[in-house]
Amino acid sequence: MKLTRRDLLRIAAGSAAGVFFTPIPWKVLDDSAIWTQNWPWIPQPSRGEATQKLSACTLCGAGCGIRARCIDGMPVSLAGVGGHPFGFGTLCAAGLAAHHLAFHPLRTRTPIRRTPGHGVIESNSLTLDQAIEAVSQRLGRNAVVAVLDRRPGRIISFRYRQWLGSLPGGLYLTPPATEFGSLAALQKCLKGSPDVGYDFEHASCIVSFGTPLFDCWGSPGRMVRLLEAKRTNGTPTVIQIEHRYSRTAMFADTWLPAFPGTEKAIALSLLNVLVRDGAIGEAGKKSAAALLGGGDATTGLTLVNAFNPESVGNATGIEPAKIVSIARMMVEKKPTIVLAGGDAGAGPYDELLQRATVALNVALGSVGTPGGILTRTTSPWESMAKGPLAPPVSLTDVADHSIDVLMVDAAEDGCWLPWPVIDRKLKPGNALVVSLSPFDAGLARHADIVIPTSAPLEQWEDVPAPVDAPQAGFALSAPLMAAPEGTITAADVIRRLSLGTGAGIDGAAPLDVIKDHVKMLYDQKRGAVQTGSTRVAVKDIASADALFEQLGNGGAWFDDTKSPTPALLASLNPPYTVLPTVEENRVPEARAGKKGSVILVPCATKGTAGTGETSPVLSKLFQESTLRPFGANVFVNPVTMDNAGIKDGEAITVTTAGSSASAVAHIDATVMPGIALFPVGPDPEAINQSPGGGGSIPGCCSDNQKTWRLTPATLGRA
Amino acid sequence: MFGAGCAVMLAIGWIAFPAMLYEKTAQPIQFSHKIHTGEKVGLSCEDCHSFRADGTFAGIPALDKCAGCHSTQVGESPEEKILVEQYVAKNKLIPWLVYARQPQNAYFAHVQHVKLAAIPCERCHGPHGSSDGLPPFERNRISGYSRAIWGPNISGLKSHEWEGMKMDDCSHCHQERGVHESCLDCHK
Repeated sequence: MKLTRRDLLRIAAGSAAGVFFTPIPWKVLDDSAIWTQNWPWIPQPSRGEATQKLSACTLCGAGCGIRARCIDGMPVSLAGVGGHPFGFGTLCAAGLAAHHLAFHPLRTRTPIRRTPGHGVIESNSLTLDQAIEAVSQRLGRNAVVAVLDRRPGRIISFRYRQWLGSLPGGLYLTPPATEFGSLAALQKCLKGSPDVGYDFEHASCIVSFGTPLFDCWGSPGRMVRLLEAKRTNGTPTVIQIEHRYSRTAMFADTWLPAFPGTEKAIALSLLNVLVRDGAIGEAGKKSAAALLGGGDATTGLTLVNAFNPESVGNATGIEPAKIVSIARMMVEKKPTIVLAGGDAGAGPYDELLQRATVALNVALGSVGTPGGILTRTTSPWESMAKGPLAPPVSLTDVADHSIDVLMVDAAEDGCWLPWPVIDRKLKPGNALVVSLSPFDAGLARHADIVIPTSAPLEQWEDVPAPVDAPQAGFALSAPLMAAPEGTITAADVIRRLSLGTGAGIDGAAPLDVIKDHVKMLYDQKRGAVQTGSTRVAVKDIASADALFEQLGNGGAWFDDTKSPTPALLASLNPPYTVLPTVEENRVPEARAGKKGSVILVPCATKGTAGTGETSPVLSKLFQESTLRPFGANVFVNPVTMDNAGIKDGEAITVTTAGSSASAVAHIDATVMPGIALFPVGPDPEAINQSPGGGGSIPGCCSDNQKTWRLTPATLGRA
Repeated sequence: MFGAGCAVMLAIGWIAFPAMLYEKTAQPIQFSHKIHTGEKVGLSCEDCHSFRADGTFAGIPALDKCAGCHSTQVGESPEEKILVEQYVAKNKLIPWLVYARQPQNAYFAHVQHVKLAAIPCERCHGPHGSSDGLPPFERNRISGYSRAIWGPNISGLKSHEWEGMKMDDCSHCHQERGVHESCLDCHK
């Protein structure tokens, strides 16, 4: 049979059609994809002996335990440590990738000098000695020198306080209480200002004003356990009061939608119901009212009386019966904890709301009782620190334009701190900002000098018990990698700056310092070490070295000294003798439909708020999926979108009183109408672009220096 | 003619292609699991494929595990003779070809699956533990991995649950058992 050209063409066509019914194209495609992943020039982790190291994460204050799988001594993967007293086996997404940070493109190993306002970076032209000398020269006798420490309570924190205590104008600054604002507010109301923590495990009811309890807040592992217990046993009852149907609201028993700014009216109304019902006893009623009335219960009660559910419901759009029912539930299901605030991106709640949460906790008898808020002992490091210590001062309590030299410690608390909040405290024109940081990112971007320090997991660190823990304690974070040449410890920087001031700052290596402190603790025979579920008293441990070894193997130390009995102060500042009227809490005009008007509310996932140094792996959460929102995007309710005349996915302009910026609008039905939610990080694409992080949406710091929570804005088409 | 072309391509695709795609290499020793786990010797999987104290999995045993019993020839099999003379006597590592080798970016913890989830070895490794010899290592000429990862059937269809060790296979089992999974669990 003679084959013609046509026959050959038909055979070819048949083959081409037939090939799709064979595994050839699909298998070759799959195998080729795999082949491309194994090209010889693609970096591979080194081969070697597989070992395991235990440590603790230092990316925020939770201090979750880490089990690192190491190959040839280098960490290749991290996991949580089951039963760890702080982490309970959990590691968040940021913590899982913590070992990547040492290799971040924004990592700096040499000092950077930046000319402010010009963006010119003179890196590599400055040695460490020159950088420290440049700072020393500014530490004149009359200079106001401040250190901003976002994770107070560590051994280095007391070094800072010791050094600053030796300076005439030394200020030890802590960030505004964002995550634990309610605890800070209660602390201020107690005699002696003892540390306080939550006893969630024994609470029956939790009323949360916007606290993201089950979304990385506080100690994530602890809160995951609480959620599991809630699923199994049905307690605690959780009532979430906030402006969006958040992840926490989804897990809560009740979500009460509350427009931003109306929370304090709702809190006062809950107190009003408790008083009206006679449910809290005379003593509780008087104490709570006194907290609001400047020490005078009669004044306080008169003020609370105005916030009845009917008036508040009218002003906030919430059904009065709902407020009454929640108030009654708080009493029925005691012990009850009331708390407010904590989104890592949003600023602190206003002081009146926090004072109202204190009043509610006092009224319900939750202060100093199991299942409520417990006092705890102060850090043992405080008694070990030498010399006078500069007292902690909140950044927002410092006078504007007063600081000559500001040093910013590298440690992050996982929450956003906008640069304008800090900038307004600096003397205009010639203030010097020094960042002790391993990364040229976040706040370091605004520094005049960046002194390179160790990255996370590169040095020994003590990890204080999380702020919300009901007991004082600490764990150890062992290094998984060596810090590179050219970096310096913060302690060494302070030591060199303090030469000649007589502050006597110890410049020993971090490991030796920690061992010394552990030995002092051992000598005091104080506390106990918990590893998993086993707790061993320090007095029963053979030696200080054995104590250190237990701490280095996933253990944590907890104090056993008796905690102070809480007692309320007789008079308080501010006295709140004049509370805002219920009318002033009426839902703002923005919600009523003025075209494009919104309240801009920042938000963030803890650990990624406004920073640039996140692992590229996190792009799976932020950019490659819709699991988490990230910078330069704004999320609004469909009603708000219609009202503004914008469409989903459209480029828009966000305009505030001070500035405007571009963003992309997205529909999010979980957000209440009239609100625009904007994430303040991370923005991996903005690496090397975004000054100070926080995406490209304008910072929300207007005249209100204490918070950046709510900013009136307008949305419009770009 | 069109049909003929189709038929030829189907034959190539289903018969010739699989034969050409894989190159077969015999294992260095024809190890018999059946003898070792049988009544006479009575070893279990974990006797040789053990977990270390820290939970890491030892995988294919090192030479010293074999040398523990076979420092000299104890039987008459030619395969044992190879083991003793060419490896044990020379203290030379046996270059086993690993059927289940996964890419570097895939992290698998035996301890979680065997100890925590109590999954029997046969679930993923099939009757390998009772095999009388070792099948040849069929290396995919394009990807470099064993045929065992894709599965014996070129179509990807599976006759038994232990066939195949690709991500879909792992994920399918996770879904069956209601296990929550995320990217970072397996890709560090």
